Amino acid sequence: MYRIRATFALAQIITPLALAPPGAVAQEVVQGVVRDSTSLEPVAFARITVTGREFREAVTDLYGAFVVTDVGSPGPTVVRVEAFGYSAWEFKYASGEFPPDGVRVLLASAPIELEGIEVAARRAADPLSVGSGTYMMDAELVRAQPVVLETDVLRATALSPSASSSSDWVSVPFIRGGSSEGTPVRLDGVRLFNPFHVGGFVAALNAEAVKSVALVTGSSAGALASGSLSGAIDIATRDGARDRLRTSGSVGLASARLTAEGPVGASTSFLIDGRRTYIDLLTKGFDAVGVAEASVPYSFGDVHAKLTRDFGDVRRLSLTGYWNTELLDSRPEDVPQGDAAMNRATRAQWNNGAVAVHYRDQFGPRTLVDVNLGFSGFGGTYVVFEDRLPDSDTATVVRGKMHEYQAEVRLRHHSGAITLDAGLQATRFEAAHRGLGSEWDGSDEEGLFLPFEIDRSSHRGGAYASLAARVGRGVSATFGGRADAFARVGAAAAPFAELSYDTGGRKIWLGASRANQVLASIRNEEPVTASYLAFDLLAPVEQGPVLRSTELSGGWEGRIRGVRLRLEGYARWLANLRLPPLGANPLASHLLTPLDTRLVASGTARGLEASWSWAHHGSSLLGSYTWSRVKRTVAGQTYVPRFHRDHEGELSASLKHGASLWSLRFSARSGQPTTPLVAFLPFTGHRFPDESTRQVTYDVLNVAGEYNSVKLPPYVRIDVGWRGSWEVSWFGGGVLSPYASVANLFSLPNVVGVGPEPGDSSPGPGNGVSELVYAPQLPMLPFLGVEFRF
Amino acid sequence: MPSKSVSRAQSLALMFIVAVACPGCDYTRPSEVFVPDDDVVTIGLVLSAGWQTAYLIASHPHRPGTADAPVVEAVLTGPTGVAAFTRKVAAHHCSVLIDDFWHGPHICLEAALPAPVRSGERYTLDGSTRLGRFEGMTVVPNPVTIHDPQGEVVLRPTRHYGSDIVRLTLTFESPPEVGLVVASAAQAVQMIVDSAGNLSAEPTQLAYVLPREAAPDQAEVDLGVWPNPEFPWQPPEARFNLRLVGLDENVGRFATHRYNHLLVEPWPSFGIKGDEGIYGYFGSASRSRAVPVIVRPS
Repeated sequence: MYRIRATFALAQIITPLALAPPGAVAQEVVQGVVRDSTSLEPVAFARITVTGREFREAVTDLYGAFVVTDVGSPGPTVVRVEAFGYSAWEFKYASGEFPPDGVRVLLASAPIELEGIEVAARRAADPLSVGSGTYMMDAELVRAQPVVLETDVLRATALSPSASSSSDWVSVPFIRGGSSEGTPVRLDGVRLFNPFHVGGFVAALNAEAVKSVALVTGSSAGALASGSLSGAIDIATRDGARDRLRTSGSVGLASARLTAEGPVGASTSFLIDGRRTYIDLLTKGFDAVGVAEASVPYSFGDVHAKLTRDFGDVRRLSLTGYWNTELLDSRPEDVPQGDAAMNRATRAQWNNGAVAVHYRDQFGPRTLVDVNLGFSGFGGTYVVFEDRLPDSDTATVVRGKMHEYQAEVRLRHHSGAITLDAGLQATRFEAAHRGLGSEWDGSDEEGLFLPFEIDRSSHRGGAYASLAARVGRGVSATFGGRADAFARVGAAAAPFAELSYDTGGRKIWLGASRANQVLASIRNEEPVTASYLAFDLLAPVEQGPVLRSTELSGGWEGRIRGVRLRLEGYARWLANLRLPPLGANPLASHLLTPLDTRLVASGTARGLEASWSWAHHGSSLLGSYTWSRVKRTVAGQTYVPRFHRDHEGELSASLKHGASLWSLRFSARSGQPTTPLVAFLPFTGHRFPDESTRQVTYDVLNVAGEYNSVKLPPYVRIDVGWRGSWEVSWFGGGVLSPYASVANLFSLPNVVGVGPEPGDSSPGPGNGVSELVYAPQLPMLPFLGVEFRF
Repeated sequence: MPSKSVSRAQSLALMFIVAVACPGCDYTRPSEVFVPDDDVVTIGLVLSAGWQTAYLIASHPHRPGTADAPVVEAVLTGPTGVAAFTRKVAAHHCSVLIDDFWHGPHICLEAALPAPVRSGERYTLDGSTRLGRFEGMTVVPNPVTIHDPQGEVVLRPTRHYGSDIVRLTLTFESPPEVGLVVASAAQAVQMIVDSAGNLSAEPTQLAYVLPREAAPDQAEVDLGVWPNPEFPWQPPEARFNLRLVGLDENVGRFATHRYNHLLVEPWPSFGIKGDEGIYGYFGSASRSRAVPVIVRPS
């Protein structure tokens, strides 16, 4: 029986591809593109229903394309398209003959309130509506979060129950017990290295240009293409408007952004956006007029551009370019209390750039083909100069360089009840990292890094495929896998399977997946500095075994009285990680350590996740709760990593009232693990009785218990925000949107770590008493700014 | 439209209040005084090869200095017999030169050994406190060998950051059982010529020998010796003996971790194993031959 079904399924794929003439198939298939009628930008996640002799439905992809198969034999057929924010589009094809180059749907905007539409496909600001394994944040949802310095597309993803913020200072979350090495951040299909500013505090991506951010866990078929241990964060940018030149931007406390977009000829659009901070200029000005005593010699900026050519049907070509730069040039004359006091100068500069080319075409009406070419590069230098002047002795140098080149061909074929996704990838990764010196800044004892020198490259050839088939009433099976050949390291297979049962409104699923990669990070997540600096330097391991993740997951999702609810459980086994041994004092260990000192290690993660979304009469409520357990084992020692929290809850509420959009975000988390102190042991240097000096060493050794065996105080934070919307007649008409927000409204003293501070050992009552000193999270901070669109 | 204006005004007012009011809040969790079990007892003992006395310091490091010192009974067992730590002596015998430097109430106990401590021999420690028993073991290391200089050295002071110091380089070799090398100056004297031209030696004090510590696998160390500012080098000359002290691996491990300020389990051995609440170190030291140094200021 199984063999008969398999043969039937295979025939369903092969027959239309190889045998059937296009004209005959066209009557069975409706395909096309959905666009905004004004800007002509593709409309993603629109629901397509085709009603003829059969009822069929589909959802548009990120490029607005759709394919609906098995619509029945010729006859009157109605195609209806619905999308949030648009009037429904409907057309009756009397004979059932569809345009051979596809149905072109132009949706007209509808001035409706947030609660005004409940299409069965995807509602805006509903991250759960894409499907299991993916948490989708669109521009509306990102803007409905209280601003933390800037409207931040990465920080918003922490709403997902699968995402965990390692600290308030880092905007990129970790996924299901993994760390940053396992979760690439991709922009239009190309990996971005360290896409953030201020050490990781704010994403280096302009929210104006972003269409959506998808947080993909490793347990979904969508993660096959990334081939990474812990899913991916996929950022899709908008195409530029094709009706007229438009500008938008913002002016905030730290930086200004500007976006311009418009048509180039009839079928091409451009979008270019840039940002530049003025922290350096402002503080220098304040310093000059005597308002402040010191300037902050720090600046950052980023530029993104996209050119899109639309060939009229599903075919399209886009070119994305991205560049960001950051500079800290700390001279003693600028920061008299800082570097000058320590008799040094610091210069840190890093740049990150990427180019992505995407071309979409089709092979017949059932098969969409995507070709992606991408390059991404990162270069950073951190130098500490002793004796103030940059031409004097260099105390510390860290250089990091990463390049990734990727080519991918991907196809999606629809055939009846079967959808095939398949792709071929070739990737080259180059890493050249070097750290000289042994100290953080040439003076401190606890170092930023151990000296390292890594210069290596790797090639990866990968093929992946997944086949989704409806195998019975409401039952679907998706299975497939990925095979990779890693140059010099070997080959690895990563199978995937998922079984689901969908009753129309509710769905349960059970899946198993595996992922492999050879990239490992030289970061160490255990020192406290890791909570403040998100920079990551990756390099391929020189020899196997490859890093591996195996995951089992299952869940349920459905709607209960207007609330979309998703419950999911997972268990992960991480193998062949490259971790540094814990050492005697992991809190003060080095942030960067060479890969050749790492040990082959393992990890586990398991958790239960609940997330929900609700919208009603202008209000929306999103939330998530996660219980999880994460462990790492290295050199026989098993411990809970410092970034992990057992319980995490997030609640995001927004209320639209008149021209105002109020937002609130509430986060409650159990404390991160920490190590208990049990005693301090005084020590004095040994002296022979006839010593002629009174020289002696006194110190204290803080004797601690089992590593990370107790918890820090719990974490609670409330952020509030407001956005206005004022129509103005300037420049031909536009909208001004002032915003204000307060992070950590009640200034709750959250902490990210704690360490002992030995007491003053000089003579005096009470001296010598050790204290526990907490590393703080984000204090109460207000943010202001204004966005505009013309 | 008016309602929208009111809404905006209310919104801005509330945001302003929040922004102005909350910066005054205290957002930083204050440091906390480390309040562990105050019954904890620490033991410290390093044997000196060639000496017939041993000194043990015991303290309650988590108690205020005005509290009672711990009651400790301990015996040292070596190749020549057993000695009990029974005699209370001044803290400087236990290298605590200033009482307030030490954490908590402490007691320094002396044991009179039947024979001088010998290099290469094994010594054990057994004792008890109110919290339970403890035991330890050390093997006294063999002396560090100084290869150069081989005899007496005559040096002239040089100016260094406002002090007149003497510098010399020692090349040495440590036996494998040595975990830490420490420079030591002893028997310092200032030679004095009286009006009659008679020469006499007055004991004097030095300030520092730096760097004080060296790794056992170092083959060479550049040392500087600072005179005590109250007793600078005087003509015709000053003399002292410079040695390198080899400490055993128990102390070497302790020295490796002491600046980490946090030592997680599993703890390395510092030579003492005790019941819960008893921590400490038990090591031993032996000295190299002396390098006689003569300082002749110009």
